[in-house]
Amino acid sequence: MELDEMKSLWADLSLQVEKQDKIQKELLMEITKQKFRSSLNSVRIPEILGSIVCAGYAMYFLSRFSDFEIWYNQVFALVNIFIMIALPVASLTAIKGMRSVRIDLEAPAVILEKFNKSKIRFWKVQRYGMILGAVLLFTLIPPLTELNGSIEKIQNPTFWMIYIPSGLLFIFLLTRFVYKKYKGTIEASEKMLRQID
Amino acid sequence: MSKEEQFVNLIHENQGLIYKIATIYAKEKAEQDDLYQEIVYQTWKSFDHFKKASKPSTWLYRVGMNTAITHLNKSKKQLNTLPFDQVTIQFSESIDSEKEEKIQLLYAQIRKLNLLDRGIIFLFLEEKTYEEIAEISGISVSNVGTRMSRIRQKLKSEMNPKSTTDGTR
Repeated sequence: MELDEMKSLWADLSLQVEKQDKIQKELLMEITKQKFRSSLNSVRIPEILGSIVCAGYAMYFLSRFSDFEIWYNQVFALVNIFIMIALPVASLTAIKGMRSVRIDLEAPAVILEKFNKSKIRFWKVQRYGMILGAVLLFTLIPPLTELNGSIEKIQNPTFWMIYIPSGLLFIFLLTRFVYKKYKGTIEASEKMLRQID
Repeated sequence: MSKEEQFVNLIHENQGLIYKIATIYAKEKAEQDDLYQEIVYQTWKSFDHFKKASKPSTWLYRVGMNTAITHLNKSKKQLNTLPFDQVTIQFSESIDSEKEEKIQLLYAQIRKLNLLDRGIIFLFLEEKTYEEIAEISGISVSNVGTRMSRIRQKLKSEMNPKSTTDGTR
């Protein structure tokens, strides 16, 4: 099929579309209002709740920091506080970047480029976020155990003999899974960026 | 005329345009309905800019294409369609089956293009000049030309593979 034939086919189609029954005007406004309500309902509740939980934990560790007697628990607590503050901030910033594209002001080529760059950033944050999440899980238990008054548990060498290998194995498996999972998505966005040039 | 009335009139007059954008960017009927509603909603959200736009037709094409690009990128599998019985244009008259088949083939081939090229061929089929396509899509006129010849080759080979291998037109 040549482009001229396509054009003539498209013109026929356009004519047919124009002839069809149009959506009632009242319904158009109703669609818009409903869509507005549904978009408000889908405000990132999980992301906000996750950030509140993280901030709560960070505050808890900060307020009880002087109670840590074991040096490595102080280090773990600091690592936890850092991750629990940095992770939600990075994640929410990346999401904000993806949503800040102005579809009414910019051209599709610009939108596509900005959106894909933000998307790559978002998935990279997600990738590192999951890895840091694994580090967080690994470093969370010892300080929590100390704060709960079960200090003897973590002073027992058997605990560490089980905890360190299983923790490292968990981080390794999760990291491998996350890299595989997000590799395709990031590559697809990068390919899309190359196509714009 | 109130803002709501102006908006409803604009959408009412351009339903065919929105329908065509939804159809070239989404394959399934449910996805098309979802995209159609999203374009209507995004048009309302940015309607104040429309009133200030120097070229309203360019503006609507842009909003439609930009919504399709961002919406499909954001949530490929998350449909958020509202339960209205008739949210897209319904064909009450039947088109002859041969033509219908060709239209479906045309849509299918356009959907194989990347998101930007889909918009470019759409504008071309809408009888826009290269200058207008460049203005709406945000690329240079020479880039439109390059892309068009690439798209032409691709569509030609995919819609009629025999003719390209034979070297016939």
